[in-house]
Amino acid sequence: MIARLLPSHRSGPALLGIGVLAAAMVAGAIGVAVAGSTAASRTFIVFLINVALVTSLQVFVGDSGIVSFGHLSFMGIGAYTTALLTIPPAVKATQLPDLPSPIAEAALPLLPAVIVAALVTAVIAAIVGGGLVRMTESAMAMGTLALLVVFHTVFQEWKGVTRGTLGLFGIPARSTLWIALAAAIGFITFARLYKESTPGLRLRATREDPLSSAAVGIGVVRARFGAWVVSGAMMGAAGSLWALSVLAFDPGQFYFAATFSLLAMLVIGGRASVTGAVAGAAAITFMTDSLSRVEQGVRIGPLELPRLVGTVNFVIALLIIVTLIWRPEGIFGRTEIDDLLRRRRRRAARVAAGSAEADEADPSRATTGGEEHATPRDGAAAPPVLIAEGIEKRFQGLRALAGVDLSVTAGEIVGLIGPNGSGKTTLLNALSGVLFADEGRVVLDGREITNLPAHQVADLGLARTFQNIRLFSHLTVRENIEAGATSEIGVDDVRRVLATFALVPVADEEAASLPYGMQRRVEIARAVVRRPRVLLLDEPAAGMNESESDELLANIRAVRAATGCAVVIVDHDLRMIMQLCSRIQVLDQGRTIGVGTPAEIVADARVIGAYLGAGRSA
Amino acid sequence: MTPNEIVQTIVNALSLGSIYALLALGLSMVYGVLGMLNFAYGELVTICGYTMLFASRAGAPFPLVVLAGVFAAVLAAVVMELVAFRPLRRASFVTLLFTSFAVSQLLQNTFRQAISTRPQGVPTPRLFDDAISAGGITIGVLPLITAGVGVISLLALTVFFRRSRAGLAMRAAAQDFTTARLVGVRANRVISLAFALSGLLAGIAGVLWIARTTAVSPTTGFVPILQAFIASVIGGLGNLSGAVAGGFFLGTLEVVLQATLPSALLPFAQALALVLVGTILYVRPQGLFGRTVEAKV
Repeated sequence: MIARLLPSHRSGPALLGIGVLAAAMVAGAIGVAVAGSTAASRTFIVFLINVALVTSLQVFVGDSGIVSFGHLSFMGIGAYTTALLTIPPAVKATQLPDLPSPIAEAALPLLPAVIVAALVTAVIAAIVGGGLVRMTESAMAMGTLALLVVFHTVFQEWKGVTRGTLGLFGIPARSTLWIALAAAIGFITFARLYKESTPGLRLRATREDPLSSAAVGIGVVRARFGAWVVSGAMMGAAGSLWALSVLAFDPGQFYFAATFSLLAMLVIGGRASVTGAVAGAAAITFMTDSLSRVEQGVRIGPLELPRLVGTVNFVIALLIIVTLIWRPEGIFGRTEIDDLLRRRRRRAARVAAGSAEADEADPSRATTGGEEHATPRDGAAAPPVLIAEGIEKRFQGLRALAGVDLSVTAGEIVGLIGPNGSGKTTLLNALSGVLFADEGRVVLDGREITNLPAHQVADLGLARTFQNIRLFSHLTVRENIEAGATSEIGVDDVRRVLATFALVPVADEEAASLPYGMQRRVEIARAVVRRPRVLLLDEPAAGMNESESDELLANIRAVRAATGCAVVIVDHDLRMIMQLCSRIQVLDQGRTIGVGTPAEIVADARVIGAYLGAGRSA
Repeated sequence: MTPNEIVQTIVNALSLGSIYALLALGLSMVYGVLGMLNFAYGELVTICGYTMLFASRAGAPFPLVVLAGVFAAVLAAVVMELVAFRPLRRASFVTLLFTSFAVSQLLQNTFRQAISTRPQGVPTPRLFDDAISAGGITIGVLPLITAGVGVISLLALTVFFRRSRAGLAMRAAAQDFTTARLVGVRANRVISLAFALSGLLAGIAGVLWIARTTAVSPTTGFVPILQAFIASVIGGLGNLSGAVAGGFFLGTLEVVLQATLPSALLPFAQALALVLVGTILYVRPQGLFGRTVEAKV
C-alpha cells in the first residue's frame, strides 16, 4: 500500500533533498543558539515558521499550478483557533467575556492545539473548496481572492470571538527555536513527499494538462480538492505555530500585505519546487528583517533618514518583477536541490545505460501483461468489446457526426480513415468522454459509458492518445507513464513499457525536451501502461518517416499481442493502415461510407470518390 | 418599499453596476487578448484619482480635472504593459498574474511613500450633492450622472466593437489570438490597443468612483477592482458581454443587500454578496453567463 502511494524510486531522491535542506536549517539553528543574539534567534524563528507557511501554500499552488490568494484565511483560522484554545482562561475572561464555557476554560498545550487548529481548518477548507475547485484555473484564483475578503470580514466583525480590529493577546510562547525547527523540517518533509507521492504526481499531471490527465483516469476536480484540503490543514497548523510565536495578532495580519509576502517567497524561489519555497522564505524573511529597520527610520552617523512606510513591500514587489523577467518560473524553477546534486551523476549513468537497454527495446520480445492473448483476425467470432451506435455530434450548425456506428472486438485492430473534417477525431472524442455526444450510445465491455466523464471512461478500460500530442510537458518520461498507471500497475510494469517503446535511456528526461517522434511514443506508452481493453490512437504516425512508422507498427502489434486489447487507429498513412488493420471503416462528412477488409476498401468506389473528390473515378 | 425607494434603488444599482461593468469589461478585454488577469488594474483607478486631486489642486476647472484623470489612466495602462508585461509575453498565466500583483503593490507603496497613506479629499462640483424631485420621486444627481455616463460609455463601446475595424480586430483577438494574427491582426498593436482601451474604461470608472467617494488613497482601487474581478468571473472570464452583465448583477446585489440588511449585518454586506456569488458559481462553475467552451483536441 505504502509502496504504491510512494514508490521508493521517487521517495529516495526526495529524502536526500529533504536531508540537505534539514541539515542547513539545523546548522543555522545551532548557529543562532550558540553565537547569535536574541534578535537573531527571533528572526530565525520567523524564518522557520515562514518555511512552514510557504511549504503549506506550495503543496497546493506549486503542484496544482493554480494561484491561491486565500490561504492566509486558513492561517488566520488556525491562529484564531489556537488563540482561543491556549490563552489562559483568566486572560480570556477579560478579553472575551461571552465565550461559551468549554472554550473559555480551555488551555491546551502545544501539540493538541496545533492538531485541533489543523482539523478545524481542514473542515473549513473542505467546505469552501468544494465549489472553488470546480472552476477553471483563472476563475478559481479570483475565487480565492473573494475567500480572503470574506474571512477578513469575519475576523474583523465577529467581535465576540475575535475582538475585531483590537486583536487577541496573551497567547503563551510555545514555538521556541527547537519547536519551530522541528516543525519546519516536518513541513518540508511532508510537502516534498506529497509532491512525489502518487496523489501528488497525479496532481502535477493535471497542472501540465487537465485534459490528458482525465484521459489517463485522473479525476481533475478530485485531485485538486484533495490537495486543497491537505494544504489548508497544513496552513492551519502553520498558523497555529505562528500564533504561538507572535503571542498577539489582529485581522490585518491575514490580509493583503501578508498574502503578498507569502506569495513572493513562493514565486521568487520557484513555486513548483520545495527547495525554491525554502530559498524564497529565507530571502524574503531576512530582507524584510533588515528593511523593516529602514522603515522605522535609520540613523547613519549624523544623518537621520525619514521613516519610509511600505519600503518592505516596495522592494519585494521590485524583486518579484525583476526575478520573473529573469526567470519566469522562479530561481529554482522546477528543480529540487537533489536534482542539482544528482544531475552530473545521472548524465554519466545514462550513457552507460543507453547501450545496455537498447537490446531490451526489441518490440517482439516486449510484453506488458504476460501471456499471449488470442488475436482473432476476424471480428465476427468474438463479442465486441466496444460498441457505438448512432453517434451524433453537432457544433452549432455543423453536424460533425451524423449517426455513426462502430464496433470492435478484443484483439482486433480497426482503422478509421476519411478526408479531413470527416469526423474521425470527433468520434474518438465522443467515445472517450472528451466530448459529450448529442445522440447515440457507447458500450464498453458490456457497460454503458455514454457521456461519462473522460476519467471514468479511462478507468473502465479505454485509453487514448491525442492528435496534437498532449504530454505532461514538464514531468519526466517515467513520471508521464506513472501518472497514467492505475493502482494495480507496479514499478516493473512501468519498466517493461519503457523498454517496449525504447524509452529507457530517456526515462528521466523532461518529456517536452524529447524529439517529436519520441514524444509520440511516450504518449502511446502512457496509454498502454493502463492495460486498456480498448486503445484509441489518433494519428500516431503523423510526422513520422517510413522506418519510424514501421517501428510504431511493430509496437502496436506487440501491445495488442501482449494485452489482447482492441485498437482503433486513425491515420492518414494508408500504407501503415493497410498493413496493420484487419478491418477499415471510412468516414466522410460525419457518416460511414464503407466498412471492410483493406482489400475491399481499396476497391470501393465511394471511398475512392471521397478521397479523390466526387465525379472523378479512379 | 415605496415607489420612491424602488426608483432610488434601481438608479443606485445602475450607477454602481455600471462602474463595476466598465471595470469588468476592461479586465475581460485584456484577459481575452493576452490570457492574463491584470491585478494592477485597480491602480489605474487610483492613478486617475490622484491625477484628479493634483489637477484640482492646481486650480483646473472640473471638466479638465476629469479629462486629466481619464488621460492619466490610459497613459498608465499603456506604459504598464510596455514596461512590466511585454518582457513576459510568453510567460505562463500564473507568472503574469504574479507580476501584475507585484506591479500593484509597487504602485500602492509608491503612493504611500510619495504622497500619503491617508485618504485625501478630491473636490467635486456641488451639483453632485443635489437631488432632482419629480412626481414625488427624488433621485440624487450623482447616481443619475453615474448611471448615464456608464450606460452611454458601454453603448459607445458596443458600437466601437461592432462597427470599427479596430473593434473587429479586438474581438477576433479576444476569441482566438493565434488565428487573428494569422489573418493579419498586428499583435503588438492589438495588445497596446487593448491596454489603452482598458485604461480608458478604468479612467471613466475611476472618475465615477472618485466622484462617489470624494477621496483618494493608495488603496482606492482595491474595492472596485475586487468587484470587477468577481463580476468577470460571474460573466464567464473573457466573455465581454458577460462581464458587463456580471457587473450590473453584482452592483444590483450590493445595493439590494445594503437596502434590506438589518444594521447589525451591514458590515457583512460585501462578504455576504461574495458568499452568494460563490453559491451560484458552485452550481454553475463556468459563470452565470459563460458558455462551456469545448477544448479543441
